[in-house]
Amino acid sequence: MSQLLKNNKKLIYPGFLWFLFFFIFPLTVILVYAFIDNFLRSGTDVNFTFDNFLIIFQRKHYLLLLGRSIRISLITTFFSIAFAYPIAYFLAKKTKYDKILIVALMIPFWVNYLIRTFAWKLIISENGIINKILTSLNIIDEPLRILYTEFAVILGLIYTHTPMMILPLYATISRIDNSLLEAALDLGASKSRAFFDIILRLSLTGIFAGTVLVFIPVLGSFAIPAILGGTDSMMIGNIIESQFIEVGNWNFGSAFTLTLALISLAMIFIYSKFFGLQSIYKNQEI
Amino acid sequence: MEKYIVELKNVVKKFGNFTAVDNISLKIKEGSFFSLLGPSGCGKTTTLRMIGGFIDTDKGDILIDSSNMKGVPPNKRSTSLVFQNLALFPHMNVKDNIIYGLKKRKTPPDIINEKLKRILNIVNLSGLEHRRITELSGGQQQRVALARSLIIEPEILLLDEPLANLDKKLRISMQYELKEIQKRIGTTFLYVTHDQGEALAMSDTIAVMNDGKIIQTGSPSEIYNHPSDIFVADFIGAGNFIELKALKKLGSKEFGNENIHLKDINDIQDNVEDRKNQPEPLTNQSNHVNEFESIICITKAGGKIIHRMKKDNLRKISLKDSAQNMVFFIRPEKISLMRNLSFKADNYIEDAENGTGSRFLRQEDIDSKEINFYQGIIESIIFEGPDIRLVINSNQAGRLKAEVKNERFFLGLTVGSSIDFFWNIEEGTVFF
Repeated sequence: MSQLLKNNKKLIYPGFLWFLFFFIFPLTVILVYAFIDNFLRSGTDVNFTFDNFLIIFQRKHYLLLLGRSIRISLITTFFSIAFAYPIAYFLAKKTKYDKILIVALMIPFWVNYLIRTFAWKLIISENGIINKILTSLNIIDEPLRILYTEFAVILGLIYTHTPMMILPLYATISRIDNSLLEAALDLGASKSRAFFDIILRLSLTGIFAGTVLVFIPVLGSFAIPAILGGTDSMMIGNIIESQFIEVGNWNFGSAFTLTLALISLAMIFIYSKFFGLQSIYKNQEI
Repeated sequence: MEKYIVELKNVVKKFGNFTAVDNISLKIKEGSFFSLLGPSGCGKTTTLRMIGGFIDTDKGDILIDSSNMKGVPPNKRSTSLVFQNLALFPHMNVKDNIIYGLKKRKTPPDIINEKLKRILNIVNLSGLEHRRITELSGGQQQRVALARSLIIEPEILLLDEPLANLDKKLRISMQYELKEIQKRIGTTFLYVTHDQGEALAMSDTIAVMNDGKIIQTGSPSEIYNHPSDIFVADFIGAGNFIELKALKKLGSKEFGNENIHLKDINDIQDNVEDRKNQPEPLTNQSNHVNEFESIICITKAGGKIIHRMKKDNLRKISLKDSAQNMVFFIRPEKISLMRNLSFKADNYIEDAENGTGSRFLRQEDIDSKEINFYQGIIESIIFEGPDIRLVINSNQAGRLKAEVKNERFFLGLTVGSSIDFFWNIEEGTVFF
């Protein structure tokens, strides 16, 4: 493939055009809108301004939303790692049916995630399955209020994003040579010690990749909080969406979008520093 | 009394219907270099991994230092394994790899440093302790793996074809190094390989395995010079296998007796029966001759090979029902070449005068019945540097591979020229 591309440089044009039109162009629009005070229409004055950004940091409401979004994203990422790791480890090292199970893991993706999210609504609503079972078993008297809470939002987000964590983890763990674990055991490490020293250590790149794949989309998500969350569990995605679609203030929406993108970048940067990923990547060039 | 550090007693291991290790028993002397040699799939690696504790045995016992290892995990055994792919930890540098085992044993730092220093010296890696594994050459990685296993001072070091991934020159220099290190530290090495040259070069004892069984155990020279069956003969080194149709007995008296009595194989059997009933007749011959007996092997092609063999072995053959599937085996380098007397006689004498005349045979040597002497035609010549390999076709012995040293004497040989060749009647083996 790469040889084909090398010899026929023109083959890259369609992909490049696609990228230009659907990625670079919209991004440029957002970048421009974020720094002006009006729509780009003939007959209106257009001024360069930072006001769109200042509003975000001046209003307590928006800062609260920003904080909540980051908190929800962190919790979701943490629990998806916690759930995905054992599953990925099982798939990579403990079963020979991993290929089939990976496909099975993908089956829910054949159904649109909005529909799956509505299904959660049925499960956790006041007269949903969970409450019905708990009341009929006399564990609770009053139905629990799960739907329209931050908990429900996190639940929905973990549910939709955990497979995104499983796949990169599975890929890295299955690439770790079993003989490394055997060597650690042979040299006197206990089973748990060998797991931490070898498997966990060498799968940090997978954890990192999974985190990027989960944290960023979760930070910007709007559909799941809109369906499962209440007014006090809105996320930034909801604000951005309403600015573009309901309010019609593209300038403010664009500024918020850029802010969110910068926050994501910054967090990933800090995270990679914290994990010392450079050194891991360097070591894995085998 | 010599101490055996590892003992296997009737060990069996099955994977599903496949018997990987089939009732193996062996003893490994403390401080020796012991090799398990066999083709891939013969069960040698399974045996090694059972001793290391990575695989459970189905039946039988493994004793290390006289204590039974049943149910003892690898981290509780006094063994250490050098893996085929080395299994060095990619995220650690040389030093951290080597001291991993000591750290898990909670060894105090000053002792760790001391041992590290010593082992780096032994494996010749001093100064490289802060290098990444990926920055090392194949041979250096090899030595890190060795050091990592040796530093925990195992009673037995298990090596699973650790040289298999190195190129030929490096492999040979590592063979010397391994042997040298083994001698210096005195640890028992159990080495698994499919490379017969490697096993011969390094081992004190070799056990040849095939189909989950140990076929023959012995020193390298025993295994090479006296293979116990066709498999071992064929697996270790090259050889000529000449099919036989009958064995006959050479004159029962002295060798060189012109009056050769040819008898049938059945006659030999009768003879054995006779001997069982009568005490050995006392003769004035030496013991040596008493133990050995000369026979004539009749090849399928109708040629004759005189062979002197142990009487014990002859008895075993004679107990066989027929001469079917009997094979005479001789290694190529046991066949000596000499130029045809009729061919360039002048050069021949010149060679003799120059001191390379050892290939000059006198008629009386040929007549003595101490050698098999044939004439043949050279069918092919392969020049391999130190050695020259030839294929010789002769009416009496058939098509044979021969191997001679690269000496001036042989340089003039060409395909199609006729050549005389011979071997001592004590060389070779009859398999039945």
